[in-house]
Amino acid sequence: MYVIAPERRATYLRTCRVLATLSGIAAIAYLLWLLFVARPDNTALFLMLLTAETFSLAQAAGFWYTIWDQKWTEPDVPDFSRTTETVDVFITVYGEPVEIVCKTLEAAMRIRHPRLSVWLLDDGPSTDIRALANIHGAGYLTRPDRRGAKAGNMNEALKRTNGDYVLILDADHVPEPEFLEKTLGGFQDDKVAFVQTPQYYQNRLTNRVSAGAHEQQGLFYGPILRGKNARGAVFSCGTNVVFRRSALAAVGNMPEDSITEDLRVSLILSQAGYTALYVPTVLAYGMGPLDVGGYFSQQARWARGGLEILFKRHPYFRGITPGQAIQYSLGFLYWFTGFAYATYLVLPVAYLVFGLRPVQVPNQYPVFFVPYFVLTLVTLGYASDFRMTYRAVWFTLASFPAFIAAFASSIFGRTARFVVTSKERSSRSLRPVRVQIITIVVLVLSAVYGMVREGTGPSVMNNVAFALGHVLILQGFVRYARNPEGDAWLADEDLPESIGELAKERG
Amino acid sequence: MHTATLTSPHDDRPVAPDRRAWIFVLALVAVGAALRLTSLVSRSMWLDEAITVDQTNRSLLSVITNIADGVHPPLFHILMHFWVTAFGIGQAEIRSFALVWGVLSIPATFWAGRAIYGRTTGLVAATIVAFSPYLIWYSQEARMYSMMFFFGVLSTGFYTLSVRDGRRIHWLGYTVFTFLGMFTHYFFFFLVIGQVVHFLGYEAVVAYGSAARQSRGRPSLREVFRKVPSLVPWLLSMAFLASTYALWLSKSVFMKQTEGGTALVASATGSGLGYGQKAPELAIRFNDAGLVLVEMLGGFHSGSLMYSLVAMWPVVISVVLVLMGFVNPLKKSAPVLWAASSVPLLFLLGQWQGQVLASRYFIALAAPALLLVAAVIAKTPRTVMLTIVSIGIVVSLLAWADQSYNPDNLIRYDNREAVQYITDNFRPSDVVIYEPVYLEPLMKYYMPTEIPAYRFPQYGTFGLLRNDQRLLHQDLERVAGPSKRTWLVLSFQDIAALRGDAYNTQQWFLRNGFTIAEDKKLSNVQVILFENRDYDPGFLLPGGSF
Repeated sequence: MYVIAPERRATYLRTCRVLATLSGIAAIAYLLWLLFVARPDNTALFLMLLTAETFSLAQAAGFWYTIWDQKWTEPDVPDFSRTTETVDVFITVYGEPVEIVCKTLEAAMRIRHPRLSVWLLDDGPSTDIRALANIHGAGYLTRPDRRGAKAGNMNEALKRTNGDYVLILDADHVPEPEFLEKTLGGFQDDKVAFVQTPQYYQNRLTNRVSAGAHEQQGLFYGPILRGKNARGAVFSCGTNVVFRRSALAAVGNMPEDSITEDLRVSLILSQAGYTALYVPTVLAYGMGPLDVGGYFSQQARWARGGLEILFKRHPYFRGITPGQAIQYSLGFLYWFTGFAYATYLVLPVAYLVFGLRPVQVPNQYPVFFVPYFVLTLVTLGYASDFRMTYRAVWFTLASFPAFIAAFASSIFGRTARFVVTSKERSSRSLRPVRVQIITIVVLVLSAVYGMVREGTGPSVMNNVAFALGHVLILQGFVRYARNPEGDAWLADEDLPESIGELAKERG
Repeated sequence: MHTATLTSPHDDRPVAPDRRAWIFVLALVAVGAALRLTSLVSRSMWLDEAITVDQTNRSLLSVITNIADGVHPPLFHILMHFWVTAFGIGQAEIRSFALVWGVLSIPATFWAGRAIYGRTTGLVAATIVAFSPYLIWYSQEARMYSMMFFFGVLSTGFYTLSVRDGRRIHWLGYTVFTFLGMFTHYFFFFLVIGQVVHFLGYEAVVAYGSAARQSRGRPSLREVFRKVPSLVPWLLSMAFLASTYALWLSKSVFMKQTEGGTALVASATGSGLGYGQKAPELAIRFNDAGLVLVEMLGGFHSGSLMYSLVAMWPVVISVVLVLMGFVNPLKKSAPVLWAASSVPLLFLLGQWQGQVLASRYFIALAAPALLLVAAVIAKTPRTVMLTIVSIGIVVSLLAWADQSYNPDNLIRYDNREAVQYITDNFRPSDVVIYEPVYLEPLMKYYMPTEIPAYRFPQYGTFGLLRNDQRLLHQDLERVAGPSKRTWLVLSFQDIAALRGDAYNTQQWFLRNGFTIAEDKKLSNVQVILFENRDYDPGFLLPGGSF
C-alpha cells in the first residue's frame, strides 16, 4: 500500500510538486497545440478528441493538485486505561460463507480495547451466523427486512447499540488487534466524524482479479487519500472505518437513499461541518472480487452510487469548502473515465475503416503529446513510489462498459439495488467481457482492413499501433475471465509481514 | 492449486559460476559469430569504412599524425593499423576487427548482467546481444562502434559494482574500460556524463544527507569523505580520465572545421558543431529520433518499412505502460539507469543538432539500456520471459536477413556494386567522375587502378563551390570533354538531394552533346553513363589530364 517512510516524506512531497509542475507545463503546451495549432480534419472526431483530452487533462490536473499536499496521519496510541469511551464493532454480513465471517469475528474479538462489543449484523439471516456469534460471545443482530441495504442494516444496529465509536468491517475484512490503538487517537478533535484506513485484498496472492483490483485501488489508498486528508476531504470507504456515533446521529445516521452510503455519509458529514482523517496504515485484510463479473459489478455499483449522488442529491448546495468541493468533484469525475476511453477506441477505427482522422498534422501530434504523456506517467509512477502497475491501468480503462452502463442507469434506470460482491467462488464465464471481446474483434478487423485497403504506410501503421495498444489493454479481462486464479504473480515485493507469512504457508 | 510468490519467480541473485550458463553463453557466442560472419560482406563498404582503410593502411607514425589532425581519439585507428598490417585490407579482413569486438560483447554482456542483476538477466542480455540486428550491423562495419559497445558494457558493469561494493579492483576496472571507451570514440563521453550525474547527484547527495543527519548540521569535509568511501576512488578515477582526455576533448570541441569555425564556434559561413556543415538550429526531429530507436530495436531496413515502424510510436506507450510495475525493483539499479539517462539527453540535443540523431552514436548508451531491458524481461514469470525471448529471436533473425540481403536497405550504399557495374562495362577511353568529393577514399578502395576516376567538383571541398558554374565547367571540359563516354557516380544517403546538387554537372553534359546512355539506380548510389555520339577528338583541350 504505497508506504512512504517518514524520513523520505519531505523529499517525496517536494519531488511530487516538481513533477506535478512539469507535467502541468507539458499538459498546457499540449492543450494549446490541440486548441490553436492543430488543424481539425474531421470536425466531429476533432471535437470528440478535444473533449476526451480535456477530460483526461482535468483528471490529471486534479491528481497533480491532490498530490501537491499530502498528510500522513499517525495518531498517538491512547492509554485506554485512562479513557472511558466504549466501542462497538459492526461486522456486516449478507450471505458470506461462515468460515469467512468466522475469521473476521475471531480477529475482531482480539482487537485490543477494554470496552469493546463485537456485533454480527446479519442481513441474511442465517442460523449458522447466529451460532457463530454465540460461540464467540459476540452480539448478533438481525432484522425482519432488508430495507436500506447495508446502510439500513447499520442503522438498525445503531439503534440497538450504544458504543461511543463504531468500527465498521465488511464480513471478509480481518482486522489487526491494534486497529483501535492506531485510530481512536484521531478523534481528539470533536469535529472528526470518522477515521478511515486502507483496504487491502489479501486474496490477491491467489486470485489475479483480486490482485488487479488491489493494484487498481492502490493509488486511491496512497497519494490520493493522503491528499484528500490534507484538505479535510477524506471519503469513507464503507469498511475499515471508525465512526463517532454522535456525528452519525447528528446527520440522521447512515443515509439509506444511496447504494454508496459510505460516500454519501461522508458528504453529508462534511456539509454538517464535520471532518475526517485518513490513517494510511493497513489495519485489516480483506478479500477482493474473485472474478471479472464480480469486479465489474463492484465498479458499476460504486460508479452508479457516485453518479446518483452527483445527479440527484445536490452535493454542492451547501456547507462544503472549495477544497472539499474539488476533491468530491474529482471523485465524481473518475466515473466518466469510460466515455473518454471509448472515444480513444473510436479514433483508430475511424481512420482505419473510414479514413477519417481528427487532426491534419499527425507528425506534430507526438511532439506535444509524448512529453505530456510521459511526464504524467512519471508523476503517477513516482507518486505511487513506482509501485503502480500496468494491470492497475488496464483494470481502470478496460472497465469502460461498466462505467458507461452505470452512467446510463443512473440517468435513466430504476432505483439501484445493493449487490454484495461474491466472496465464495469465482466464475469462469466470458459473459461479463462480451463488450471487450467485441471491441477487440472490431479493432483487429479494422487494423487488417486498413492495411489491406491503404497499405502499411506511416498513417495506417500509426493507427494500427493505437489499435494494438487498445487490444493489449482489453485482452487482460478476457484472460482473467477465463481463469481468474491464473498465475497471481506480483511485482510488488514489499508485502507486510503477516501477508508474507501467509504466502509462505501457501507455498 | 496455483501458488503465489512474493518476489520474482526465478532466483535472480548472483550465484557462483555456473557451468551450464557459461556453456549457454558459448553457444550464444557461436551463433552470434555465425550470424555476423555469414553476412559480413553482404553489403558494400560505405564512406566511413573506406576512410578507415585510408587512415590505417599506412605507417604507424603516419596513422598517429593523421589522427592527431582529426577529431577522433586514437585507440581504434592504432589497433586497426596493426590488424590491417597483419590481415590486409580485404573487405572481410578489415571488417573482422569490428566482428571480434561484437562477438566479445556477448560474454561481456553476460558478465555485466550477471554481476549487476543475476544469472537470468545475464543470459537474457547476452541473447539480445547475440541476435540484435543493430549490434550485428555494427559488428560488420569497419569502424569503432562495436568496440564502443564492448567498452560501454564493461564500463557500466564495473561502475555499478564499484558504487555497490567499493572494491578497488572494480574501480580499477571501471577506470580502465572507461578510459579505453573514451579513447575509442568521443560519443562515449555521454555514457560517462550519466555516470558522473549519478555519482554526484545521487550517491554523493544521499551520503551527504546521511552525514548531515548524523552530525546534525553541516558535516565537515572529513565526515563527508568518511561517509562516502567511494568518493576518493571516484575522484582519482575522474582525475585520471579527465587529465588524459582533456587534449582530445579540446580537439573535438575546438578543432578547426573544414569550412572555418570550430565545433562550438560558428564560422562566418555559419558552421558550428556541425562538422563543417550548416549551423545548428532548433527543429522538431521526431521522425529522426524515432528512426534511431527503431534502428536500435530492429536494425536497418528499407525506408518505407522504417518510417512505418517510426509511425508505430504508440507501441512505445504500451511498452512504457507495461513496464510501470517493474520500475520499483529497478530502483536498485540506479547506476545503470543513470548511465542510460544520456539517451533522452542525446535525443534533446538532436533537436538542436540533427547529426547527433544517428543510431551509431548511441551505441555506448545502448549497453546500460540493454541491461535494463534484460533485467525487466528477467523479472517476468518464466513463461512470459521465454515467450518474449523466443519472439525476440525470431523477429531479430528476420530483421537480420532483411538488413543483410534486402537491396532496399535504408542505409545500404551499393558502392561496390556501382564500381563493379562500371568495371564490367568499361571501355578503354571512358572516364569516371564521382560526387561528392569525399567519396575519394571509397573510390580508391574499390576502383581498379587502371580506371581513371576523378572527384568532382575538383575545387573546394564538400561541394561548397559547386554552384560556381564557371569553375565547374572548366573542370568538366578538361576531364570529360576529351572522352566519348563518362560515368558519373553519385553516392549519398539522400540520393534525390544529391541529384539536385549535381544538377549543374548533368546539365553540362546534356548541353555539350552528351546523352544519358544508362542510368543505374542502386541503393543510395546512382551511376549515370553520359555518351557523346558526335564525339569529336578536336574538342580535346590541351593539357587535359589531372
